[in-house]
Parts: sequence; structure tokens; C-alpha cells
Amino acid sequence: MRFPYDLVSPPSLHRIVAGRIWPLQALPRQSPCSGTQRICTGEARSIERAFALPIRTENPDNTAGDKIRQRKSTIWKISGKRRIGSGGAYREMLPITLIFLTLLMSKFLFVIPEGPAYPALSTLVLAASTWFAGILFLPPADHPRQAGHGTLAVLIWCLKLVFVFLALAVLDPASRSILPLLPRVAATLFLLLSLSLLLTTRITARFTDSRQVVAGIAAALAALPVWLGPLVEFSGNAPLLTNTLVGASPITVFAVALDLDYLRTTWFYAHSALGSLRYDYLSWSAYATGFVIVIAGLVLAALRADNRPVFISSEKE
Amino acid sequence: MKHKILPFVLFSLLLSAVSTGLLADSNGMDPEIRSKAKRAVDAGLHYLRTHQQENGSLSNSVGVTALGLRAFLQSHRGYKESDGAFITRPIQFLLEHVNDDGSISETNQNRNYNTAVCMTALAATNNDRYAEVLAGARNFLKGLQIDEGDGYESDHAYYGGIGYGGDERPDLSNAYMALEGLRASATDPDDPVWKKALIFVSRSQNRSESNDQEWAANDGGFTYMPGFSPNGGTASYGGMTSAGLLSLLFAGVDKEDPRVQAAYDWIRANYTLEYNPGSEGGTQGLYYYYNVFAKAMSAYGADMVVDSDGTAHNWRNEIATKLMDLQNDDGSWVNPDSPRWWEGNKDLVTAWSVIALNAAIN
Repeated sequence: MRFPYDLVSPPSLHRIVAGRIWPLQALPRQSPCSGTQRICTGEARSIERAFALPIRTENPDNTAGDKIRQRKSTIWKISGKRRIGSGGAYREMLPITLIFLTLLMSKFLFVIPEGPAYPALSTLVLAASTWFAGILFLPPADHPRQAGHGTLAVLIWCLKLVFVFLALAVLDPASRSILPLLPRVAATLFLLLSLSLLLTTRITARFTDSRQVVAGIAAALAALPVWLGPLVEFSGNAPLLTNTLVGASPITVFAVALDLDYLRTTWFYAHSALGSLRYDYLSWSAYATGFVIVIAGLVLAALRADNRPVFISSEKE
Repeated sequence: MKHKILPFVLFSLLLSAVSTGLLADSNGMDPEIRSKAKRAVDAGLHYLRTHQQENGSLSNSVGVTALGLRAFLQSHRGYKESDGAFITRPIQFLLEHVNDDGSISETNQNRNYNTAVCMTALAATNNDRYAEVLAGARNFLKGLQIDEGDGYESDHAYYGGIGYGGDERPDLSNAYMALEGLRASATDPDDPVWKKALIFVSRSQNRSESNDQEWAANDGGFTYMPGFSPNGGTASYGGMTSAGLLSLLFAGVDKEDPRVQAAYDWIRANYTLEYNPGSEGGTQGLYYYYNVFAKAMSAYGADMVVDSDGTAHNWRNEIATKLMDLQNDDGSWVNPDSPRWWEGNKDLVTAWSVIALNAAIN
């Protein structure tokens, strides 16, 4: 039995929060929204809340998807939580563990070798892993009106990075050379994390936890210079392609904030063709301006969509 | 009788002088190849001249512009600033990119390369007007050198090295370029920069007698940096071995020094102009290799290179012939097989090739 597809137009932010648009796409026949009717956003929200999980498990067309979701759920249960970022002791421990492991791995794999770039590379890995952990573990704002809470959470996250770095600077005098750049790194983290979390609430209409999607995209983008380096090399002399590839990586943004030509550090030079090609980094101010514009655009679009009436249509019996 | 013999002797002497001159030039190069090479240089310079942009640059890059300028100034034409805008405009472009820290660069990347090649080009003008710029650039390059000021003691593998200038690791390629710039700008031979650089250069050589690094092998060749070669492990390869040889000579090491001889022996043992010996696929950094090989052989002062099979090679004739074969119809050169190290950029590769030909011709 196939359930009718309910088209929701225009998509509004609150309906795609944390993948909740999915149940709306598969409303049962006994949905209160038979035919086409105009409802207010509050009604739509209550419908979503009312139908969220039960419909998912009852949807016969999505048995496989349910199993996957249940498996994921089990994983999170093992790690102490049904949904990440919703409280508990592991809430603090998991991101710290992730960041610590990333630093340890980077050291072990010689991404951070001894040398003049050591402090900048350490800070780069620290900032990038904090950003990545933020995507995974910070709860995205459920609504633009709650953006203030989200912003506060991101700010606290950034301040934690600053605190960790200051602790490192006390322990390791070499890290002190980075201190003047720390405000710029923290600002970069704030902008990137805000953008990522906004995208988390906006990006997906098909996944139950959009953070995992955004985290996947983030990881792919971060590693872009490594896994797409050969493509640039084989495409010959294409500065635009090279610059796009380099510029699209969030690692580049952090590196620019740190005044670090990371593609020419030992590990990247050995593992990516880009270090030996011609490329130019954008300036930090260009990145910052771009992020501010995109973030403002996303927030405005979300607010605008939220204020519009919502139409939910379904096939007639 | 005496009157009959004298004209004959004089005629014989004249004939032998002419024939010697026709068969081999003063530097051992075949006159016919030399003449063709000069035409190839002219074609290359024509390409560079027609590809100069409004602002006098090549590829909007300080480094490429400086290399192009050097190609003009050191060519057999002996161009000078008085010859016109095609010389003065690139100079102006370089001067516009002199930064407060003394570097000459349009970007934060490649600051060492850019500054070093600018120094070589500006020094080639023989114009005292640029002495101040050169002094500032010299101080900048010396500041890039890794030493005690950066917290490194002389036993560290990076000590004395110079990198790209973006806070990253040093390498022999950057070090050799910097040393070339410092040498061209008449840096005091007693300056500590040479001694420190020598430590780094020696640590990049696969010669355990003069390299205290554990990985050091004994083929006499050079690797990219202590403990790393882009061709895997710490393998020696052509481009870096010529760069290493040149660096040793720039730093004032005698030609008979065992380190120089070991490097020269590696070049003899691996002599080829068909590919960059020891590099991945042989095509990566090919023109870099031609450029630095010609300069190294010219600085070493050998007209003939006898390879390990006992075959004598007139390197000037051979590199000129090779480069002429590879030249495009429009006078340019480019590496079609690998864009690494900017060898997909015609302006850069043409400038490198012309400089290599200049080294062979002059």
C-alpha cells in the first residue's frame, strides 16, 4: 500500500528541522489534511510533532529505512544517548574525545610534524576538529526565532576552543606565536559553525538526522584537496578549477585565518598534488564577508518562509 | 725561400683558427647548434614579449615575470633597460610588489621563490637604483632561514633551510633559489647565511660521510629535503641533485670538495636529457630539471660530461638540441605531461627554457 505523497509548498524551516519533513512526505490516508487545505504554520508544526515517529515506523514503504534508523538509534543508545546533543554526561565527553583523537591521529600520521609550522598546524587541526565536533554534537536551532540560543551555543563552543588553545599556549611556548591570530581563528570557527548548523536545519528533506548529512559533506569538503587533487593534476593547467577546489575546503578557511600555506606542509605536499600546482588562497576578509552574507541570507530566507502560509496537499481518495 | 714559406705558414694558421672556430666555439658548443639555439632563444623571447600583459607582467605573477625578465637580460641579445618598455614595464611590475618586510611578491605563498627570482632579475639589470630593494629582499630571505632565532639548534634537520615562506617546512628547491638570489645580489661571502645553508644542503644529500641523518644513503645525489623525496622515500633525483650541486657552489664550496664531486658523479652516472632522472615517470619537473641542470653545469665549468659508460657528452649541444626539439611553433615551451610545479604554464616554462639555453650559449 502506497501512501499518498503530500506536497508541502513552500518549504519552511521548521518543517525540515531534524528531518521532520520526512513524515510529512508520507502522511497516512487518515491524515487530517485530506484534499488541499490552507493551514497555519502552528498547525503544520503540531501535525509534524503528532506524526513524527509513529508514522515513520508504520510506513510500510520505508521498512528498510526504518531498520537503518533503528540501527542508528541503537548506536546512539550504546554511546549513551538516543539523539546526540540532547544532554547527558556523554554530551561533553564525546566531542572532547573526538577532538583529542583527531589531534592524536594527526600527530601519529605526521600531519603535524616537528617543524616551523608545528604551532599553526596544531591550531589548524584543533580548530577544524572543533568545527566538525560542533556539527555532530551541537543541537541546531529548531527555529529561526531560537537562533539566539543556537548562536549562544556556538559562541560558547568557540570560547571553549580559545580556552583550550590558551591552555596549550601555557603548556607549549611554541604555540604562543599563534596568539595574535587566535581571534581570527575563533571568528572563523564561529562563522563556519553557524553556517554549518544553519545548513543542518535547511539542507535535508530525506534524512532523519541532517547533522550526519552535513557532517558527511563537511568531511568530504575538508578532504577535497586530497581526494580531488589528482583530478586537478590530470586536467592540466586549470587555475580556476584548482582555486575552486582549494577555496571550497573548510580547512583552507582555517589555514587562511592562520596565515598558513597548509598545502605545502610536509603531509599535504606528499599526499596532494595541489601543493605543486599554482593556486591562490582567498583573503580571510573575503571569506568572512562571504560567510556573513550567506548566513544572513539563510536566516532571512528561513524567517520569510516561516511567515508564509503553508499548503499541504494530498491525493484524493 | 723565407718569403715563400711565411705566407704559407700564415695561411695555415689562419685556416686552422677559422676551422677551429667553426667546429667548436670557445665554450665547446657546436657553432651550428649555437646559432640555431640563438634563434630558438629569439623565438622564446618573442613569445614572452607578446604575452606580456598591460601591467608588464607574465601570468600576473611576480615570480614568472622575474624569470621572463631574467631571460631577456641574460640572453645573447644583451637587452638593457634602455631597449624599451618590454624591459622597464616588468621591472616596474616587480617594484610595485615590494612589501614592507622586504619581500617581493604578490601573494603570501611562494614569497621565497618570488623574492629570490626577483633578486636575480633585478641584479641582472646592473642598475644601482635597485640596491635598496635588493638589500631589503636579502634581509627578508635571511629572515626566512631557519636558525636559532626560530628555536632550532644546529642539530635539527631543518636548520639552515629555507621554505616557501608560508611558515612551512624548508626544502632544497627553495633553498637553492634563495641562495641564487643571495649570490646574485652580492651577499657578503662571510655572511653566516651561507654557513647555515650549507648545513641544510649537506643534510639533503645522500652522502653519509657529510650527512648526519640516519636515512642518508651514499649515491651522492640530492633529495627534496632531509628525509623526504616526492618520488618516494629519500630517493635522489635529477632536478634536486643539480640544485644541490649549484647550492654547494653558491655557498662557496670548492669544486674539488667531496660533496660537489659526489653530486657530479651522480649526474654523470644518471646522465640523460630524455627525462628527469629519478623522478616519478620522468616527466614531473622536467623543465625545472633542464633549467637547473644547465645552470649547474655552467657553474661547475665542465664542457663535457663523461657518463658512467664512458661516453662523453657535450651537455651544451645536447640540451640545446633537446630544447629546440621540444619548442612549440609559437616559440613557447610547456610540459604537456605534468602540470606539477607550474609546468603547465607556458610563460614560466618558456622563461626557464630560455634561461637554460642562455646558460648553454653563454
